[in-house]
Order: sequence, then structure tokens, then C-alpha cells
Amino acid sequence: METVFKAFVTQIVVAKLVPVLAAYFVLKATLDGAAGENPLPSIITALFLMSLSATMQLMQGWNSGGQYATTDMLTSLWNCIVGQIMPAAAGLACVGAVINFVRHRPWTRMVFAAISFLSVSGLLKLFQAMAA
Amino acid sequence: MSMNGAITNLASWAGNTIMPTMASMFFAGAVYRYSKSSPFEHLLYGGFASLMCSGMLRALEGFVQNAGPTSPDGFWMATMSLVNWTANVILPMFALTQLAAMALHMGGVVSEIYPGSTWIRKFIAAVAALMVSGIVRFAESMVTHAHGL
Repeated sequence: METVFKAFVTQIVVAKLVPVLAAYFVLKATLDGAAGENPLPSIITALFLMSLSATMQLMQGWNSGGQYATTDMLTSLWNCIVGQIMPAAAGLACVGAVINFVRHRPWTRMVFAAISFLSVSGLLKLFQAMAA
Repeated sequence: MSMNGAITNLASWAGNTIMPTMASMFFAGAVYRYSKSSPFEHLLYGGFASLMCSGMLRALEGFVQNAGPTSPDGFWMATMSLVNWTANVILPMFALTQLAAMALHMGGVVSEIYPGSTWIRKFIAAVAALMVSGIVRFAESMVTHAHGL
């Protein structure tokens, strides 16, 4: 039963279904943009689906297998998000600030969002110091 | 390809490929709006900003790293660096532009030869429309060599 389920997940869901879902979100991103809405959530979702296998392997590498495996994984996830995802998000925020500036929309909050994205670890330390 | 690599590539593509390309569109839009005597400054500055997305991110990274990436004072120091940069770098440059405008006004340039008058505006718009590529290359050159300032 376990083998059948694994084969279903690997050969049907991951290999066949997920790429189609990712393609759907790429289509949705273009339609969102055409409708004047923000396409970024759909783009992020599509990228996540396209990198699902690598993300799964990454998370498996974080699993220590011990009694603290859950917290170890959450800590590794936090480090990954803060150290690798958020700096890239800061770059996207800079691009968004320029686009908002040209379109006469609020742009300063994007600049401060970029600063916040780059200093999430510092903000955590700050709030820890406040709570201490 | 991992998720973080994909998002980094997305940010790099948006900031280093699409935005410099869109800068040309913004400059072209600025020329057109200038020819119609409409406000064009946003598109002009937007064109420059599009060429400087990476530079702005590097500047913000520099502001954040002043206190150390994990320092509790990181956000405050970054905000203070931004304020210092605005007050001590941007505003002096703005002062130079104001002094230049003052000199032009004192010389009667904007009263005797008024750049906003129709024939001069149309002439400048025609010349600018013929050399949008040159304007973009000039802006790219200024942005590329900006570290030398």
C-alpha cells in the first residue's frame, strides 16, 4: 500500500499534476496582469510548484530525525526564509517601488519594506530584547 | 532549481532585464508628455530609477549592514542611514540644481528665452524624440559610472 501511494505521489502528482498546476498559475499571472491586478502571488505559486521536488529534498535534509525534528525543521525553515528568500524579496520590493513611483502610487512603503526584508533577523532580536 | 534560487532569479530578471528595458519606454513617454506640455518628471525620474534597481538594493543592503545583519539596531540604523543619505547627499545635489535654476532666472533665460514656449518645446521634443536611444545610452552611462562620483 505504501509503495503504491509513493508511486502515485511521485509518478502522478509530482511528475504530471504539479507541472500542469504550475502552468495554470503562469496563465493566471498573465490574466491577473491583464486585469490590472498584482500577478506576483500567482508567479510565486508557480515558482513554488515548479521547485516542489527540490523544496521537498531540501526539507528532508533539514529533518534531524530526533525528538526535536519539528522544531529543527521550523528553525531551518526560518533561516532559509530570512537568509535567502527575504533578500530576494527586497530586490522585488525595489522594483515595485520604481513601478509604483512611475504609476503615481505609494512607493515609500516599498522602500521601507525592502529595508525590513533585509533586517528581519535584526527585528527579531529587537523584539526579543523588548520582550526580555 | 530550489525555491530561493527561483525567487532570486525572478528578482534578478525583473531588476536587471525588464526594468532597464522599460527605462527606454519611460524616457520615450517622458519625451511625448513634454511635447504635450504635460508633467513628465515622473517618467524621466522613473527611467533613471529603472536603470538603478540593483544600485538601490545595494544601497539599502549597505544601510542595513551598518549595524550588522542580526543587530537589534539594524532597522533603526538603516532608517537613520537613509535619512542621513537623503539629507546629506540628495539634498545638497538638489541645492545645486536650485542654484543653477536661480542663475538661469537671474540671467533672464526663463523670461527672455522661455523653454516652456510652444516653439522651443516642440523643437526640444522633436530633437529628443529623434535621440531617445542616445538619451537611454547617456542615462546608462551616467548610472554605470555613478560610483565614480
